[in-house]
Amino acid sequence: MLQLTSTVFYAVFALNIFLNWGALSSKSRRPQHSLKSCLVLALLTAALSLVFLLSGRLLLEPAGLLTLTPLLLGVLIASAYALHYVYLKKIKKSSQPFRVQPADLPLSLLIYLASLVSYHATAAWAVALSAVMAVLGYFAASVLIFDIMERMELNALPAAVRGRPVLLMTIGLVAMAFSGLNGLLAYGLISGIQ
Amino acid sequence: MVTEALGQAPGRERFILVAALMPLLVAANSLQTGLVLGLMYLVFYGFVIFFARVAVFFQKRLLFFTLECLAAALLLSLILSLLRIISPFLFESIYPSVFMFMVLPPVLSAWLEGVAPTDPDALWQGLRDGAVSGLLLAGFGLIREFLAGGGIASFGQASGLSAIWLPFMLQPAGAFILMAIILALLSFISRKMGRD
Repeated sequence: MLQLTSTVFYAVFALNIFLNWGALSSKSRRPQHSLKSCLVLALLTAALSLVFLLSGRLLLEPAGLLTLTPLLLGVLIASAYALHYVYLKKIKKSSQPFRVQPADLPLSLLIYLASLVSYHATAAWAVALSAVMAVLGYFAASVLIFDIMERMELNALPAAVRGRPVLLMTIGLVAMAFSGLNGLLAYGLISGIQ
Repeated sequence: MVTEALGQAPGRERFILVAALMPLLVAANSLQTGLVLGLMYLVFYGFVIFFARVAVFFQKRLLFFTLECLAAALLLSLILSLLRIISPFLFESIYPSVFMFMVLPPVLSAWLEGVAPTDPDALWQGLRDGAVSGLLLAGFGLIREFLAGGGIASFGQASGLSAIWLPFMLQPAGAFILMAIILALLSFISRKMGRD
């Protein structure tokens, strides 16, 4: 269970960091995360994970075709982007040809996350817990890091570590803090069991 | 202000490549894992670049993107099946990380949109970047394993048993901090060279 929660946290954390700070050119202002977007993320993660869990456990695993799981992932990713394009064309009346924009990348992150959860999760409550961890990772990767980076601007840093190096160091320290929390939780659980 | 500065920094397109690579760098915490992930990345990268080029040529982007995702998934399944036959132990340790490869087709497609996909030089530059990224994965695994345990298990040296140097290097935090150190060193060297 701890492996599941930390894997989900790190997956969302690592990918969101680079979507927020590296890949998205439009992100020039402080990220706004409402309760609604967190709920949507949690619900979509849980729903997609259940799709993976059911299809993997009920169809692929009994047939010994576990190595075909990426195909399921490929189908879901391609369908998600195709549906998104159809939505833009039909509902938003966009005349742009199909192209993957950096802003669309969270779609694939979500599907990847669901596949991760379904691989580790063994019960529905584990899926729900991982959805909560996804929201936590999403929050830590954007709001928390942004706050730290804003404070970092006030410090006189050496020229070589300014910009991306200090951003990555900060991310590493936040990740390490979570490792400590995770270890503490594991120790607590083990002590509780004993 | 911070994101603006980072977003407009030179080499932003390459930073998108790091976005694709970072989850794999987090997973590559030993030489063996780094080598396998690096090789898989190289195969995958070449494959995705080929499909993206063909899509631009035929002007059927959605169709080719769908084909790209499905073919990439089949390729990954094939590699996994081979790995399961060759080394079941390695398969078990690599299996959870390989799903990250399925995030690569959209990320690399988005990256290619930003680097003039019709330019023939972009293809060679892309392939060169892919080769460097594959090597980076293997190198990352090697350095992290060495820093964590003071040895490399693949070279017959006890790792993490006889010595504990920096155990956090095996954790995801180790990947971020190592990346930060490398970038800071590169920045320092380029500043020195510019000054000299």
